Amino acid sequence: MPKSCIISINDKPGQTFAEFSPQSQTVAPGDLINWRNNTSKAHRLVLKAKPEVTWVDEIPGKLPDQPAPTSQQGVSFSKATTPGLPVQYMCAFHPEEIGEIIAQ
Amino acid sequence: MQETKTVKMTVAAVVAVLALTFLLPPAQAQTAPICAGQPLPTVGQITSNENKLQAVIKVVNGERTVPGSTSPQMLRYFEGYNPADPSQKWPVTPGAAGPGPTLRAEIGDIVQITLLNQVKVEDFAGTLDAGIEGRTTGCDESRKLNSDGTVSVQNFYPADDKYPNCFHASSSANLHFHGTHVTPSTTGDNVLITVRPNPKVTEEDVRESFQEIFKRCALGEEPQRWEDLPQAWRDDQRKLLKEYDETAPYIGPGRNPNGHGLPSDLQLWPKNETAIAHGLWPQYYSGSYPSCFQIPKYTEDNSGESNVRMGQSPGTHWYHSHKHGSTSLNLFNGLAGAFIITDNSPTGYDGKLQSFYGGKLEEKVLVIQQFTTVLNLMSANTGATGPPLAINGERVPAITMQPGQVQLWRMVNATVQGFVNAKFVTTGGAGIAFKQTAQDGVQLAWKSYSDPQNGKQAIELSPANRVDLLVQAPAEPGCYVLQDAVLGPILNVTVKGDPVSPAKGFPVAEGDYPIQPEFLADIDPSTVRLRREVTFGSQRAAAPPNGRSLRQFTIDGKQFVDQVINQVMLLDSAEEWTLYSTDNVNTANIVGHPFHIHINPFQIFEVFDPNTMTEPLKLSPPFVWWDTFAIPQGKEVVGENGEKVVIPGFFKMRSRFVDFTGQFVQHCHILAHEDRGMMQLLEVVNNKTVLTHH
Repeated sequence: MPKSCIISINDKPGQTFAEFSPQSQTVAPGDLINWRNNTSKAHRLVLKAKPEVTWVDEIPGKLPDQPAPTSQQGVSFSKATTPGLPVQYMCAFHPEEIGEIIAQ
Repeated sequence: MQETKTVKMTVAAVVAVLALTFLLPPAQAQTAPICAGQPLPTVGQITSNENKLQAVIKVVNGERTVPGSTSPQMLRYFEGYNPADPSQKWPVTPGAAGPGPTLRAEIGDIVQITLLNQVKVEDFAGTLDAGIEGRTTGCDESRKLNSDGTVSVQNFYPADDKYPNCFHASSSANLHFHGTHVTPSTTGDNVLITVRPNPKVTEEDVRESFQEIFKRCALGEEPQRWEDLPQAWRDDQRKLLKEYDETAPYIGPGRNPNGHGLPSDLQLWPKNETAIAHGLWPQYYSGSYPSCFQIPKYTEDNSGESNVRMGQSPGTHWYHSHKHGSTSLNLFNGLAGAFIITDNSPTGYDGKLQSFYGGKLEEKVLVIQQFTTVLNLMSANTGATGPPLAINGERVPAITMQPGQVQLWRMVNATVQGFVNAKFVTTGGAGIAFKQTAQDGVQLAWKSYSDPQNGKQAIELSPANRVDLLVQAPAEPGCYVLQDAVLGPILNVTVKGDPVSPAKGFPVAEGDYPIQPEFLADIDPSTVRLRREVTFGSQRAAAPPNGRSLRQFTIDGKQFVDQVINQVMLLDSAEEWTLYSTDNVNTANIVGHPFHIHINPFQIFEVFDPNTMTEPLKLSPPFVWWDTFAIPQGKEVVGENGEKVVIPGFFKMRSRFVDFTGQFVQHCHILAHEDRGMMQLLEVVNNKTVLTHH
């Protein structure tokens, strides 16, 4: 059965940009992936190899004393033709923020 | 699923006595005395005391292990306890997925439930309510990726689903008391309210206000208007909902720079204010809600009059979350539990059965569920099959019985889409014997119970159905299996230990069987005021390029529209309905749409399955009461001009709309169909003109 998984966006200590946790996430085809924004800044996620391809629309920043916003869109791989090959994504607003998904 | 066979068997269940198939003849039992599998878990109960069922039911979330899986997943679930007896608490260990606590009350009791929605929305994606309406479509969304990460289908879900008839708002909740005959309004079986999650709201915060509500409710003074609620709780709700309106994520037109705060037309509190100004019950709540009602007891006075036309039937009922758009995901998470309503009077259902067995009739409550965290339509892995069945949180658990012992099994199909069609099988010896005593929480009449065919039919439960069975173990120890026709084994029975002595079988004399309450007598056809026809069906548009189109499920050709009332019935009137299904094996891969109507059960007197019958089957009285019944699927044939023509399947039923006015719903109990629009709003109105003095 497909599973849901959430990747957190957290402040990176000592840096002005954030990081994805886990930075590398392994999923099965059909698993639904979403992102949770624990930072105060907004993020928009795009495919690193093709930044014009938006995976996830803007996720607003977290307000004090409010729940961390989660991404509206979930993404899932229909199948893994090259199992184990990482697909990298990044934040369109903060290019230093890079994560990867490995579809098994 | 095997539609033809299953629908045919559903017909058999209607009459409870017209079994169409026989069990395999008894043979010799297996030599292995112990069945494989874990023991059937016993779900903790919250019981009534001094005529009050007091419970705090929390919707919470956490990592739970789904039956058959080794890795925990984030699930919502019910956590409950009895505030008057903290030892009654369930789950004891929350790590294993399963049903919520079993509620148990007696006819006539007052039900007082504090519902708290403490789901942490940060653990779930895209599950806010109005907040998402402005951002996107109002529906949950998913995008399909190719293996290289490029987006192959931008709008994989919702595709052509439209708000509110799409999956959405799955962190919101409410409670439906399925099978109860109580008011559908205000603090009763009201599924038209939305309780938003707010983990900051605790039982302590609302205790004083809710105690005031419960106290008045026990006096028969249920709140009728917002102003009837305690000022402190009203003030809290106003504050919490306004806080939500000001802080919910929103990146639609007119957004604030920080991406938070709803535009005025999407805010929740103003919607409540408008309702309150019109004397209506508001829809939105934050973190808490009081459920309070009396389970109606049919008691005749000296003149033969009762305070109610239709009492609550004692039996196996259940409760579950019923927020439109999130019912299926919430039940896939496990938000359901049994609600046992008893009548322990000497002639009552429970009292009589216990008396027959000398007070030693052991009960087993079996809550059948399916678990998943991702709805199939949301996932690009469209080849997924339905999740396997679990009973009380275990796959294929084992019940232990003594040789010759009789137990009362209360089976609840709390699945989203699972049809059960099962038989006991043995590899030898005398097999397990059973007699059905109730359907959907309503006891069978003596004539139906005592029919020789009772006990020879398959055990069938469409989603939401319940059956009560007296089950007797054979004299020979061994392992006996309850096997579904499609899913395989679903339950084992280990027979071992000392034989019950003297062995007592099933009641065979009418005097030993519970007297059916008077209000469950057949509805007199001459009292029928109106006949209606209601059609369940579906349509599918052509898929757009690089996209997909989803089959849209409808009633009378339309999807659910909030606040539009589709059927109006007069209070204290009987009606006769024909429920059609135009879907067939080519349009919907299901057994049939399980029709469910809230508040009042119904009696089926005619069934037509065009796949197995040439003419309708007219059933013989006494008619069985149901609250959910799968409409036989239609049959597609070729017409005179070569066109495709569907012969609809149907059943006919009679129901009485008595005791309670108000709005409630009817819908398909394949819950993904309900969430996506196969639901209608109904209203029972008073037939008396109310004169007021000026």
